[in-house]
Amino acid sequence: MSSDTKTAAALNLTLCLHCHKLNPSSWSVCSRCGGKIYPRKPKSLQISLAWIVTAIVFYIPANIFPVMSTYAFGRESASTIIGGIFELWEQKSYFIASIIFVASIVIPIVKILILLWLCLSLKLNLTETLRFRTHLYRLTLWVGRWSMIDVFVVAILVALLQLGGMLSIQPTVGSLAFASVVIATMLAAEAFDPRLIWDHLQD
Amino acid sequence: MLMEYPILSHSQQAHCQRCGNHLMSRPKHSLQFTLSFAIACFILFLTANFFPMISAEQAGFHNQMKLFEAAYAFFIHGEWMLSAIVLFVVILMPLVLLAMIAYLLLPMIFFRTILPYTNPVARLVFSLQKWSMVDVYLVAMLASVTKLTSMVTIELGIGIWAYIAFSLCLSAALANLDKQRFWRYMDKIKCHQILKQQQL
Ligand SMILES: [Zn+2]
Repeated sequence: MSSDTKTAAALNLTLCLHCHKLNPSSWSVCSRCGGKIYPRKPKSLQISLAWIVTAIVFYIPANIFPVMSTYAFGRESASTIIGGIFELWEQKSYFIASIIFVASIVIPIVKILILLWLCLSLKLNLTETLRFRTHLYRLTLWVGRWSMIDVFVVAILVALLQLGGMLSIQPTVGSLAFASVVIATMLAAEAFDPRLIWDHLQD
Repeated sequence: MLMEYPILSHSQQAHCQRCGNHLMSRPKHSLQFTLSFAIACFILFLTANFFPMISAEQAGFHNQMKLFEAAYAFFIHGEWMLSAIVLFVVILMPLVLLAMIAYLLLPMIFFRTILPYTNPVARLVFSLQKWSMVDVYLVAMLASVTKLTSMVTIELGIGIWAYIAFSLCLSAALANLDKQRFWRYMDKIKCHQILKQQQL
């Protein structure tokens, strides 16, 4: 990086996150779009951490409790997220099984770990891997919504499989817990301000 | 970090020197594309709601599903929270986004005017985009169909084809809606209006 690069903050300017216009730092509202502006997202770390903790708390019931129960020919059976993936695997639908495995097991765990590491690395004032961490952040921002797949699958099965007394499916508490995990991680990623990663470079 | 906006020709892209992220590009007619895809979406959305998407059959019992019924089924089973979440991210959010896009772009492109509340509406459009999960729902639908074929007889209806087209058009509309292009286009129209007033 060349030494003559300047930041907006050094020139007393603040970027509007809504429309990308630079405004004088003393203003609190953007002159172009009227949105609130601030040098960094307020309480970014605290809010982000709070949502991460929420996600972790909900993650446990989401995986322990079943997401749906099936009544087929008078027998009732409940299935958890992991159980559903095994079932698909046994049916030889390897492709769909892997998609659901990645979306509902890998993505939430990886996303929670990445966000935790991002928050931790700011607390520890790490100055390495700045670029890498920014890339990771962008990944978490984009990939989180795909975890909703499993909740939607339950929704569709519940809507479709109401075939009299033969076969019917009920949603159970696990789905709600899992939906909460996904929403909490999305809010955590949104609260985080990636500009904080680069701030140590100025000092 | 501060950088001067470069003047780009239509095929060029600018990237951040620090983190390498894509900063801006200058596609031709991108906002016009957004508007046309958004209008196509409305029609496809209605189709997906009026025609059955998937129907299941076993031993004489028959059931079919339209788009809004996925959210409704949760509601019937007492899971009103889940019902609200599905309704919000799969149906309400995309519809509201499309309506707002039409509200912003129709007058700007065809009449060169800006309607009241354009600023807050535009800010909402850009901040709410990731909460529309139409593409995720589509993949979920494919997964469900795979899961179901082993249990019951499945038939795909007109609704699902309309929904696939809807999902593609919505992604195309949102992909062409570039933040900077939009706000710069609005600045241009504002200048236009001021010049017009001075001439009168
Ligand atoms: Zn602004």
